[in-house]
Amino acid sequence: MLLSALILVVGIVIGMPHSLLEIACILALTIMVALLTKASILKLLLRSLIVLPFAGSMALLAPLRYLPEISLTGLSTAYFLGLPLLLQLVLTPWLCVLVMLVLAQACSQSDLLYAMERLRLPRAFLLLLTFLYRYVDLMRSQLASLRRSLVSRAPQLSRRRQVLLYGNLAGSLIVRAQTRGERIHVAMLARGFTGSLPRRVRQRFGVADALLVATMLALALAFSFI
Amino acid sequence: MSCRITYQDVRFSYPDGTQALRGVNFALEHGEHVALLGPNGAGKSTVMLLANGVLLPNSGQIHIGERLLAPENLREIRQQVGLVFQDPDDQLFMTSVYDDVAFGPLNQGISGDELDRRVTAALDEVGLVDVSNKAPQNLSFGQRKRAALATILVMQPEFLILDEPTSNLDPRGRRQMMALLASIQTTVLIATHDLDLAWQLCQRALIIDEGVIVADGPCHELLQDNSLLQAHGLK
Repeated sequence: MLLSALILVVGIVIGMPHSLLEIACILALTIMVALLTKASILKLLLRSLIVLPFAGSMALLAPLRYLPEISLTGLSTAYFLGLPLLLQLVLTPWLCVLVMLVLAQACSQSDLLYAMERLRLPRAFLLLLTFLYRYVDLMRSQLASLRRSLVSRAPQLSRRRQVLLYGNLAGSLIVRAQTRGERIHVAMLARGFTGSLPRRVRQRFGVADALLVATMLALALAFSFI
Repeated sequence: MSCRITYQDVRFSYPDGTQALRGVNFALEHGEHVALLGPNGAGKSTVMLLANGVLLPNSGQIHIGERLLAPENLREIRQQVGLVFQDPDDQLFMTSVYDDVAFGPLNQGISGDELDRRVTAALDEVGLVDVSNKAPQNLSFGQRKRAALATILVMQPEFLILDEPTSNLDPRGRRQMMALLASIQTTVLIATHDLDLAWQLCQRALIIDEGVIVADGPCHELLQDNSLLQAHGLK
């Protein structure tokens, strides 16, 4: 599934959908897969909008390549001519993010990590991802408790003082993270850790996987070259 | 008996100069449940980390069965001695409970059906088969404590060393943990401040203070010696 999603994303990025039909095709396919995972489509669509501020701010500058002269008329001409490009630059990353969100919805984190390992991603990177996923909640709750402690003792603070104190909180969080990291390392050593995360073999690449990859490959080629 | 742990004049200092152990001597016999009692900073954690070879003594000797604790024996010793840490969030670092329990056996080279059988048996022992696919952060604290124990039980260690197994547990979680520990047949060393736990589960107790063993005897006798307990910050 990871391989299929990556192929589709590469296809979308290389092909940059330039017709409504292409966009509708990709969207329909993605939503179909999402429906199979019984995910809430509305939630996925809303979550995918997170990419818009980033993609949108870059896309806004793209039509300027059509700017004939620096004037209000020139600017409106540039945006009129560059509208398709602007839309492409917004829709391409949005579709990619949507595909990735559906992938994350369809697979468990540990399955995804296992798939990444099968795709030969560097072990150090996977180790980092594992710990990031496992401990991000813990860090968040530690930050929340630090903030509560700060607010309970200093409910009214100037902005300058707040910035300084939040700097202290960040420092404290880093120290706590390092201490915990050392304790986790000790726990890993105690269970025979020798430098790389051992993973059990879960499932083999089967016919269904091959079919899914082939379909996505065909789609990606179609987007790229047709 | 080969299943024996012995500490002979063990001394250990941390890199910052803190002298944690100043000549520790004791032996654990096969099948014993022993409580390691002592105030904060007495050296309990150091004693435990040394048993598993996470730390190595500056001087003195530790034998795990017939093996001397030394870098060349660490692999075997870590299979023999299981260490359960106080905070389960230190112990559970994988993305699912199953993967976490499987971590130790995988490091031992166990895989396939045998791995699955062992992991399922360990999870069954602690009553967590139903949550095996959950992420550790989605479990309750009591469940995380039991999952941490399962990560060690699955390795079938000859010696089990537990750091504060009942700390921060609610009464029900504590009862469950006590029942679980009582059912364990292997040699167990429990570092704790929970004197009730020691009273109920351990035949013998060691009291450590300022890096030395100050008392070693039958648990019920030591726990009734109020002056001893008070002198070493346990009451």
